[in-house]
Amino acid sequence: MTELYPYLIIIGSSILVAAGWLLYSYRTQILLSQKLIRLNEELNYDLPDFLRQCWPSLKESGFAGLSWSLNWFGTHVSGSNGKTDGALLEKRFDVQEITLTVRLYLQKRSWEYRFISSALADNFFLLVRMNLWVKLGAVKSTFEQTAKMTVFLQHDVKNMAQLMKLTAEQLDNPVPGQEDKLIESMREVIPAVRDRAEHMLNTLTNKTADSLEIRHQLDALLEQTAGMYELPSTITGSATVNLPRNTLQSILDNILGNFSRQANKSTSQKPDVKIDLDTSEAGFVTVTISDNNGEPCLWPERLFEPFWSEFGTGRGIGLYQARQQAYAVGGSLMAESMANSPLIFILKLPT
Amino acid sequence: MSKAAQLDDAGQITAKTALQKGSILLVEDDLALRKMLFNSLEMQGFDVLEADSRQPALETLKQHPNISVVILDLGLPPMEHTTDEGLGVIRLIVEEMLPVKIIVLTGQDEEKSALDAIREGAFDFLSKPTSFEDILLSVNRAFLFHSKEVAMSADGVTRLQFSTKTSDGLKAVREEAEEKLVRQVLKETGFNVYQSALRLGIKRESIYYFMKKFGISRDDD
Repeated sequence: MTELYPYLIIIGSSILVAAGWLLYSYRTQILLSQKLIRLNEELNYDLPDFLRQCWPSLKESGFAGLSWSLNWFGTHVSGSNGKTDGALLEKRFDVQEITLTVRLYLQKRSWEYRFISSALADNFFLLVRMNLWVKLGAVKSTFEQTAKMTVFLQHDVKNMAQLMKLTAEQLDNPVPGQEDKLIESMREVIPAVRDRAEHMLNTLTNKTADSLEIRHQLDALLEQTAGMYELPSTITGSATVNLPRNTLQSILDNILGNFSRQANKSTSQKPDVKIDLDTSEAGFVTVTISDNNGEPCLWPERLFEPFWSEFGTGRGIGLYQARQQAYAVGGSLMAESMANSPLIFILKLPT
Repeated sequence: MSKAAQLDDAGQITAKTALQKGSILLVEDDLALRKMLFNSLEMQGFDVLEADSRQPALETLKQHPNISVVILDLGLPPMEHTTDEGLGVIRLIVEEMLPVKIIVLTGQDEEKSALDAIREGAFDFLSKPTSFEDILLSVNRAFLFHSKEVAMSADGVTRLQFSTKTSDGLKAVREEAEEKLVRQVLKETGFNVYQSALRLGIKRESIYYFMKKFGISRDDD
């Protein structure tokens, strides 16, 4: 038995050396993968830049060469580094307006090196694929935002164009004997046009027109706004707030407008909105708004996400804007969503 | 000389004769545009009423049965950037069988809105910005059609309007026509079953049968 000891020691040592080597190689591979990930982050996930600058890291990983051919929204670019012959790993990506072929050339090495290289190549290809989808996602999202903004602008600009056309026609060709009435009409219309144009501009620049703080009876304003949206409501509590009129109205419009849209969606139940004003916290009023007949919110995480709308044609900016405005005046806006319970908005405003 | 004046000279229906036949309800949420249109139509001699959203529009229609023409913007609050509210007004007018002609004047996506509006029962579709001349022509046409339908109704002719797919087959079309006709005649006779049966030339039991079949009740009126 003792004569076997030297062999056992050799076998054990070999296993230990092999395990140590594999561990070292694995750790090296992780470090090189992390290096590629960091490079990608530094380049803001930009695919052409990443392809141009990734070679030093790949070379360090033991690859013999890299070549790529990219069709980027109709423009063809390509690049190559190192040796571009011999054994290779190739991937082709073809998504919408981007086509890419990448080839990674391997060193003439033993199978274990190739195994580690191919694992690293998989990580590299994964990063390339991710960059491709990040770009396409950003393009899609930008187009969607533009389309939503266009829909919003279209309504107001077409009204403005219609008004100008009518005005020009009436001035060009007034009804005989009605000239005085036309001038009187213009006196009535022009201030309304000015208000409309200011409203458009403020919405586009995401500004409120007024900075002058006025004392408001909050419960009365809530009742009036709920009435405008035809929301049957019960209001408990009372409070006054010292805030700019447009800001406050915009916050309430966006919250109650959301309840109105949800109520219009439901054909079975009429809304039953409960609004509670709590002034127990010094210097603040907490307004809790919920619809007892409302349905649970299926996407609570999306409520305050800009440019996301459950209603395809909405701008998806209302609640986001309301939250920003609430924080801007020193308050807050939150939503509580529980399974099987209607959504609750909690608006906190300084008094 | 404006086209509106030419129309007068040509002896076609004018604002003056239209005034005797009914009023115009202007449903537009943009205050400036509403005021301008209101004043422009009024200066042409029309009797004009106004509303800024769905509910006031329907209330005005119920309070003023002399309204013959509705000029309607599809983008109304609280969803002024979609056509939902405007189409909702058309749908309710058609459901209530209010004897008015609806002219859609909107800035929403033209093709889709026009198709939706006509499908729901609008008489005409004008895309903003349009000329006042075109608005006047459309209003005059609407008054003309309205007056003809009123005359036809006095002669016992009922005009029905509904949209259907030919692929649904004759049975579906017949049932829809039956329902519309029974509803309309019941409405015209103030829910008098005897009078309705007489006008339709059917038995009273048949009227009760149709009322049950289509879920028609006096509350619908």
